[in-house]
Amino acid sequence: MLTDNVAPTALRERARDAGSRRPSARWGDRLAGVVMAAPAVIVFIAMFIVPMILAFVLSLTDWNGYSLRFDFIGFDNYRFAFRNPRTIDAAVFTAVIAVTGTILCNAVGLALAALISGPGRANTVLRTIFFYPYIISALIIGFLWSALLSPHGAVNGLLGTVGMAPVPFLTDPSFAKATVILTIVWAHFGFNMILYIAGIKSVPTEFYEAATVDGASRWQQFRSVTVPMIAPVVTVNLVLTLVGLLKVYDVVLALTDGGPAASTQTIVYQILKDSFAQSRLGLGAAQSVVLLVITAAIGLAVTFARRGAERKVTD
Amino acid sequence: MIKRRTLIAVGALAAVGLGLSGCATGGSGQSDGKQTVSLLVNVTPNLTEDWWNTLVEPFEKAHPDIDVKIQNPGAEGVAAAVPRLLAAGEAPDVVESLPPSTELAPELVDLSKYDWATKAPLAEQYTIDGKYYMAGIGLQVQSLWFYNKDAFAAAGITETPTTVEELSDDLAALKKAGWTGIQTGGDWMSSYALQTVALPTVVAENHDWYQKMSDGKLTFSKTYGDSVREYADWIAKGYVNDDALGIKYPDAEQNFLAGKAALYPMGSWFVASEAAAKAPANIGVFRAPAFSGTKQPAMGANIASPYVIMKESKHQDAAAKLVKYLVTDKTAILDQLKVDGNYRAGYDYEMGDLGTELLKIVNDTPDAAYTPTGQGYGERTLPTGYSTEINAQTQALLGGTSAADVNKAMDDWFTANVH
Repeated sequence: MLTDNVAPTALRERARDAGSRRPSARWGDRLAGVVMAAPAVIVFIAMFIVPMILAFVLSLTDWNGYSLRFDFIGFDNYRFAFRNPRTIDAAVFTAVIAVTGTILCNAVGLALAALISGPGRANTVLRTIFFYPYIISALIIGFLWSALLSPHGAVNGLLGTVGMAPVPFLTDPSFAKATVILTIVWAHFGFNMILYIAGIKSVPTEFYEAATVDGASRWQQFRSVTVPMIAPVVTVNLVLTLVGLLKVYDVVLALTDGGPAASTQTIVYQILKDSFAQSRLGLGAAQSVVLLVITAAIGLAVTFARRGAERKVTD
Repeated sequence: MIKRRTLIAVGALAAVGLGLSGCATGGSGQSDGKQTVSLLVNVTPNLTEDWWNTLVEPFEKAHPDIDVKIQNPGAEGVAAAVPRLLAAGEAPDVVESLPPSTELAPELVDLSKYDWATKAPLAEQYTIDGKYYMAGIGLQVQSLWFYNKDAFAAAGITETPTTVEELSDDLAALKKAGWTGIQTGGDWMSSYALQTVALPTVVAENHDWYQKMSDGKLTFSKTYGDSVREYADWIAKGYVNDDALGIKYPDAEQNFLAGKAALYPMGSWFVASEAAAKAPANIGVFRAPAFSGTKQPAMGANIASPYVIMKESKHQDAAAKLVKYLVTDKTAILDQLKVDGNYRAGYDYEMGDLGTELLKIVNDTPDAAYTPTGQGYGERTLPTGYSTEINAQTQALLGGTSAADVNKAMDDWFTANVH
């Protein structure tokens, strides 16, 4: 109670002092703020805003990547991207990866976090094991699973020894799509799990004690205490996973190289292929701009949608 | 607080660092007066990095002022690496295996003033607006079927097929004899068999097929459609290895060399692999046939080891000396021809039975029958991305998609990509 009374008073006095200071001193403070923020702002503009503007300008050209000369062709690259069957297929598969991957990564991550967030050596070992795939390079993960799941790989070899027919993990378009998604989930859920564990550990134990006194079961505690209290962590996990999966490229490159029959090409894979293998930098830039807008829109939409759930925690 | 002396020291270090980095990236001139000419090459199971270094060694000895640096683009390959390097301002001086195209031509040095360029193999076919942008060392023949002689004998086949219909009958006989008919694979090689079936007929019947497809005056389904249907039929009947999509190029090659399949559609470079293999199967080769009624089947052929000099090169004269050596020095030419099983009139090298068989095919093929394959070259070029698309669609065929759907998808692709 003492703190509650004193703190606002001190703040009010500090504010009154600041208000009574000379104007030159206030300008000095402002200048100092600008100077201190300037390096970060300059880096942000140079590394983010300028490339974005350049990408947009590039998307209006027919630059082939070889030549220093190019023509402005208006929005032709955008029109082509929206009518090109390959780009549309890649966009659809990317959306499937993003949605199913986000759901699976978060469901698995949250479930495991709830199970192994407690103290104990076994939980520590399990947390390390589950997090480990996340720190391995995506390319290595792709090559690893490619070696395991190829027609003559270890898994089909094992199936063969028990008299089972080989499974076309990477050679049938439907199987290959599922393989890509599950590999991505395997590589990513550890990250979600760690964030959820951090969130769960931050929930005050008094809430669980009160729930226990009220006779709540473990499941009821998880549903009515844990999940609402970690709402901000859920939002962060959803946004980070969704945005990350919209940019998936490296696992696909190493695991399937976009095949079979171009069935596992993602939008970033398509952008890089168009830009460099096909020498259509302008088209690649147009697709990048569209991806940027969609990613930003989805990120904002999820954040706004989760605002209600988060407000319950802060209130 | 940072002291003035510390600031000066940091500034001096930064200046030295910038200076050093400038030396490292700014050019290939060296303090001893030597020029470094970078040569970007495709590194393959045959053309290893060591092999390339050995190839240019005599040139470096003869030109002590020039140091040749072999650049390996890795898995992305030369074609993908060049635009990236150009965009990064790190263009190589000389590039191997990158034939000139209308897009690339403005970035290349016009070699028309050099006799060694204008008189090189297929030089005329590769000109763009009458200008010579490349020099090659020989011919790479592509419309070929390598076959296992023992498999043919076991299936009772006494003569190699001269039409696609005969080839189809032979495949049926091979299957009946218990053989896997055609060995193919995933990656880039999926469409190789389809193109080997199609191009001899398609280009023979439409001499300017490449130009007319690019102009939208012909459609894929009407020109290529029969071949797609034929190949889909072969797949459905089990004439093609059923694990094709999971097999990579080196494994496909090893399977055929080990006698696990009867036919292998591949370019002339396979001869070198056969020559280097330990105890390969008993292998022969025949020219890819066309459908019956085709007068002179077209023969896919590319220039072997085309060299171009980038306009960005700061050492164009030194680069020209290097290319001249690579395309005129008899030993260098023979080394290059031999390692990839390529051919050039007047350059005979010791070759095995398979090479001799192939040389006979080359001698029997009139110049007019030669056609580009895949994306095409020079002015006979299809819309960008064709090779990737035909490969993806062939993989779809191998996965069970119908010929009608593939033909429609290719028509749609051309509609979207022809400007």
